[in-house]
Amino acid sequence: MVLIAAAVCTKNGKVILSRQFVEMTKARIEGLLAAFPKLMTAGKQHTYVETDSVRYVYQPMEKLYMLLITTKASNILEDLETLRLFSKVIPEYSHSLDEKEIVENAFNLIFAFDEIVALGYRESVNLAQIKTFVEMDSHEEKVYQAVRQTQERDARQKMREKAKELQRQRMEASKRGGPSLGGTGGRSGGFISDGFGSSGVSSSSGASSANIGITSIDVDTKSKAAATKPASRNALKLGGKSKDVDSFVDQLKNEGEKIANLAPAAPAGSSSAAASASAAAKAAIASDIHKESVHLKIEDKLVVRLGRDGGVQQFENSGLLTLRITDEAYGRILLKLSPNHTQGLQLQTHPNVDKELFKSRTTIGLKNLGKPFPLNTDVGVLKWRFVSQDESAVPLTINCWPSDNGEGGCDVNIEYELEAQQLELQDVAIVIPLPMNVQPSVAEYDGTYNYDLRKHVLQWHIPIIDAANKSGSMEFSCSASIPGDFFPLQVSFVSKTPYAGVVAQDVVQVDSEAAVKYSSESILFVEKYEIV
Amino acid sequence: MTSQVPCYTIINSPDLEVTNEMQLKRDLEKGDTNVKIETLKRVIKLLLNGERYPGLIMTIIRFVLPVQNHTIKKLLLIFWEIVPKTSADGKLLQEMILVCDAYRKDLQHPNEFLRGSTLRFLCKLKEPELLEPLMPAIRACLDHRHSYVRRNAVLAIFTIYKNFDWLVPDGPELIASFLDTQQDMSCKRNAFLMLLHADQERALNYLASCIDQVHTFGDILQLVIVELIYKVCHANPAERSRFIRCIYNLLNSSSNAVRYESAGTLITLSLAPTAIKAAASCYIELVVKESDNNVKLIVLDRLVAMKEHEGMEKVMQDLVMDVLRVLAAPDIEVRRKTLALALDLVYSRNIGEMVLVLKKEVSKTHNVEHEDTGKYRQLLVRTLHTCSIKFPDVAANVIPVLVEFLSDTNELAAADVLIFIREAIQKFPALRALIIEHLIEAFPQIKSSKIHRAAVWILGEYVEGSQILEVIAVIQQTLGEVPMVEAEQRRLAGDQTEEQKQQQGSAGGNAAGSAAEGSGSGNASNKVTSDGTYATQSAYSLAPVAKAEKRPPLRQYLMDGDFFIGAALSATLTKLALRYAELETEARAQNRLTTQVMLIMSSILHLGKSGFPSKPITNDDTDRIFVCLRTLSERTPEAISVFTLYCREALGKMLDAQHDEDQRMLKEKQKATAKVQPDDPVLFAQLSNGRDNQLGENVFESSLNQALAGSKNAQLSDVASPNSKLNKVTQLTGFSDPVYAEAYVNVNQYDIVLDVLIVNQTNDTLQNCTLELATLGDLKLVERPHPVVLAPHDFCNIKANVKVSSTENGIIFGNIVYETALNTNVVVLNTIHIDIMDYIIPASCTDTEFRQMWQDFEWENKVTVNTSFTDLHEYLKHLLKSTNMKCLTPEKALSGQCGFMAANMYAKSIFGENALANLSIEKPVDDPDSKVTGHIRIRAKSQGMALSLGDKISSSQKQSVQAA
Repeated sequence: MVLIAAAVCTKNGKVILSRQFVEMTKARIEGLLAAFPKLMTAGKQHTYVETDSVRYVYQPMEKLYMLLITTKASNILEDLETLRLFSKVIPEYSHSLDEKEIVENAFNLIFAFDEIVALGYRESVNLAQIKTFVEMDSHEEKVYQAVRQTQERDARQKMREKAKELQRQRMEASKRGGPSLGGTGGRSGGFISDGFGSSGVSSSSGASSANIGITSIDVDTKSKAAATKPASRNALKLGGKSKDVDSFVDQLKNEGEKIANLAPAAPAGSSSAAASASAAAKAAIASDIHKESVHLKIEDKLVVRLGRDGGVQQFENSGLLTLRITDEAYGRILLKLSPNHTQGLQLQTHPNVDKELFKSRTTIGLKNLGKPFPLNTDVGVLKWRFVSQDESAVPLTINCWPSDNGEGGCDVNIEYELEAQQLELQDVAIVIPLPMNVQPSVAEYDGTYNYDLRKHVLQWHIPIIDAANKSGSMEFSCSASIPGDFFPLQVSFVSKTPYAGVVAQDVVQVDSEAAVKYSSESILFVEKYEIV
Repeated sequence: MTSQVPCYTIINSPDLEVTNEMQLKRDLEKGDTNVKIETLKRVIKLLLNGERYPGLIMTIIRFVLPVQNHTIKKLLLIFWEIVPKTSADGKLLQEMILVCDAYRKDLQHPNEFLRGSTLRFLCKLKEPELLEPLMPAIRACLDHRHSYVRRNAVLAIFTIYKNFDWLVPDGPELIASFLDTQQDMSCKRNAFLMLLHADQERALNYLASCIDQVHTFGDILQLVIVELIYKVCHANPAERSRFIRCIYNLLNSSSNAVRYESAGTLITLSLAPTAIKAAASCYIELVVKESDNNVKLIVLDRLVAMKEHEGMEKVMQDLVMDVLRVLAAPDIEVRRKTLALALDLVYSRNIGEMVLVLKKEVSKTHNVEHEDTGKYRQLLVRTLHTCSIKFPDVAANVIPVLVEFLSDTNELAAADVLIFIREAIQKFPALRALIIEHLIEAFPQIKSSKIHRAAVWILGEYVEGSQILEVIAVIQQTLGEVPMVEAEQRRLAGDQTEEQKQQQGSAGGNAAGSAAEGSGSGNASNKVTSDGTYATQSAYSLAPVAKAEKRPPLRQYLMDGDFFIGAALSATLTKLALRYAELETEARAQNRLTTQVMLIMSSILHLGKSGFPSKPITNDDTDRIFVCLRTLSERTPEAISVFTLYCREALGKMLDAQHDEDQRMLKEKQKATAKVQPDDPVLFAQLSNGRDNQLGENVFESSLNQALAGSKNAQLSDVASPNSKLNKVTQLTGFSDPVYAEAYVNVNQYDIVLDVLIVNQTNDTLQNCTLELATLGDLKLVERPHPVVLAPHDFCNIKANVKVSSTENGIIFGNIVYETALNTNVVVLNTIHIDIMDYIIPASCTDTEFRQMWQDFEWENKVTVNTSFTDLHEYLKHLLKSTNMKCLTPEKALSGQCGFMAANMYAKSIFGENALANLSIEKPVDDPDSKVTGHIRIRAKSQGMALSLGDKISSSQKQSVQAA
């Protein structure tokens, strides 16, 4: 079927409006339209006319004709279907069916026409959909606007607080009488000059740039480099790292929205290597998994900070179970999880998931069992979080022991040991910072290592660490260094075994309780793992 | 050329005054959103009307582009669609780079509808420079959450790949992988559509992977699958076998559109009887089930097309009964087509069944009164007629049914029945007795004089033996008592007396009344008729007086003044008497019959002159009745042989001629299909790559091309040799003018392209040399040609498009304006006449169609013949040549020499207008040197057509007169 044009014309054959769906010259289409009234004969019980090159199919509507021009080989049944849709659309956008009204609403009609036919082929749409398309009322746009507004508001808020604090500091400093503000000033000098100077920032552009400034202070010194990039559209996204946006986005994800995750802008400095390495590894793991039409994905991530002399400063494990269904037949399912997960895990289900069912039987199903899960999107159904101060929770301990060798340099012994023996860590990379322009001499090691001259780091790779192969060590020496140089160490790894022990047991249909074939993948990865 | 720019939108706004560019700029810049929307709409309309605002682009980029309003965003897409994006030298405008960035932002806009419509707009963008930076964004849209964005992204990639494949070298691959993961029907369809056109291999792979689930797909996807199968099989017939199963599945799809398409494809895939049967059954099913007349008609057309194929016809013959189910539809057109189709398909084995069905249909029409019933009945009668001529066995069956129609009030059906009976009675002597019997039975019930007249003729011609007396009896019965004048007088008198009894003392009205009064109440009295003759009234007939309406039918016709039936009756009676004389040896019986007959005739004559009927008898009818009387009384052998033999012979000849004509048409048709041009390429089966023409051309593509480029024979002016192409060159200025110009007029279907050559003959540079054109008549200049600069003795070609919308004579005139260093000059051009003959092509139609149109058309132009021709045929030939019309009157009817000639002519314009002409010319036979005189009447639906054609004829006459 190829629809050439859709036109509205008066009973006398005067064309009011015409929209063409294939390329053609103006002279040709005008000729075709001009020929139509001459060919049409009244008093027939059918509404099509054929010439030797085209077919006209029309429908009278009060004082007008809705006219379609199609090729002669076109499928008449389709064309009539389309024609009906067209003639339903017209009264929708034009109050009365006369020439004046049509001209007045010509553009809306054209927009609606465009929705019905694409490149001469009928789209499968109905009137309600066309109305939605033409209205362009987008939920996502609203969300986007909302996010943006929240960000701006937060930014202003923080800016104000910071300004107050600074003022307080300055007051204090002036009280003390000494200009000891150097450190702070140095860290956020840029901010002071434009954010503080004009305290009543209200224009949107000002707010967004202020936003950057604040987050850069807030997060860490490391992201400062990123934040000083020119303010582009992405700047807002960077700002999105602040906590409440994160949770907002998570929320959206849980609701089934797909939020474009702008790739985490690689943080500058030594941490990038580890992070990118882990990202790559993660991708590698994720890529080669066979997916069934019901697919589970368990993502566990670790944030660990250990003191160099032992002691857990921060340990946080958080995870998300997402479900992706690609076959309509399996829309309505129940997901049974194994009940024996790690003690002390805080579990949280998606609002649409039946909480009672989950509590009583550790089974995930929608509150409204009649409704299917959304298709073709990753739906987050369960989140969990585990925080601990207990050293035994740390999966991998690293003991880095630099000792002064008396010649201005250091001998460093590093040793790792797997504590959580159920895990199998892959692609473990331990990145040891080195002082500038010092070549380390490695004496003994397990795995492989390489020295990155440019970034001044020593990267130590161990392809796999598991119960059978749970510890290893490395020894190297560096000239012209002090023990403090070798910190903070960064560690990255991935694992296919989830840390929290949330494992799917079974997936069944809601109605028949028949088991459904499913596939699952689980990833444990490190967001931050460092020894400071 | 600018004329090649595709046109996507036409908006015809009546009152659109051209606004100042400054005003527009100000509104776009300063106005609030609503003002901007209105102004933007205005600008778009102005641009569509051919105005140019090169300065506006920048204003729009600066002040309208950043607005986030949805309506403005969409309007802008239309604006970018139509605004010229290149400068005069074909380079992309600088500004468009800025716009490009806006496109990119819209492609990443959170509003999915905005993304979608931007993507759809990109399908129409033809500038690779603009598209290139957008490619990553477009690709990203493929993964958008919303299917609306995805499906438009696929279309964008499709068109970009089609136009500029280097921008997405991995297009098919990308889309193939996209297709694998999609669930949304529209996305799948669009993706599949792209593969279908870009990479059939992948499309086939995909199809193969899901061929078992095809029947579960949505209808739009199924349609594309059918298209793919058609295309693949078309390009590669060896593959056909793979798909038959799939197509067959689709034939049972739930969507009628898919079934229709599949049936069409199935017959291109296979010519096996089962396949054809399945396809034909599917079509028939569609016709029966779909309530829409359009569908019915078009699908019937497909069936008719299938029938044309010899192999298919055989298979379809078994489906005749199924075809006849379509007759349940109420539309007359549908029924007509169905009957024609069934008639072509029927063969000896199922003719019986078909006749049964038709008889049932006929009886159904008896009690339903609808405006089309009459026509439908006529149609059925004709079909039965043809059936019985084709298969004489059924004629005996058919006749009783048909004869019932004679009493029908509807003249159409009855007339057709008689035509049928006439042919049947002539062709099947065995059935004569039967037919006559039925005819005699039906005779008294006939309600129209025309039908009676024809029936009388048939009876007179074919009655034999003892039936002669029966016929005369029935005629007498329907004529009533003879002599008629007396009967009428009595009746009148009876009426009067009755009235008198009722109203005594009222003054009598007419002469007859007063005469009756004068003669008292006596029954036997002399009466004076209105023309003064005395009429005797018989005293014997005491029959009660009937009211005027109760007269026997034949008498009623005569009383109404229709004496033609009287003449026909006389001829019949004469024939009967003559036949009876041959049979009956006894002179008394012969004479009794003859006198009886002569009494009737003389009584008719008397009645005609008596003044009782509303109109007196005409002289022609009187003459004819006298001839009959004379023949009977004198019995000269010549006259007898005229009545007994030649009449029948003449009918035989006419029927033969008709048959011959039909045969000739049939043969011509066959000849036309079998014709092979001497310079056709010879095909070697061994060398052909298997895709010989057995499938015909790809109908999808060819029909699209045809629709977009006009029909194949549209290039009317190019069909002739280059020599005639030169004839189309019109010189526009003189050779010594500073600017010499000539135009080649190229007439396409709906437009005229003027290819104007302009030569600078001076030693100066001509600045701003502009060709200005204006038109007269139904012509419209599509766009103004651009100004050019001409170096000394340089030349250039300028093209101008003129739109034509009807067949009328048009004139294009114009001038060339140029500037030299000193001043501005104008050269006026010679006018260009557009000849309507370029638009008129001979066509043919049937006699009835011609008459129908002749009745319907409003405009008539009568042209008096004024010519130096002395030969009627020569004149006709000349006329046909000069008007491009076709003579519909058969050659046989025109041949021979007599003093006059009448002919019908017909032609069609390429716009679909009909033109009819009737030629009536004469010339005294005895004077060979006298000129042809007479007139031509032209009729057409529109005034322009009738007038221009008349002008054309007059001017061609003038030329021929001058030439002579």
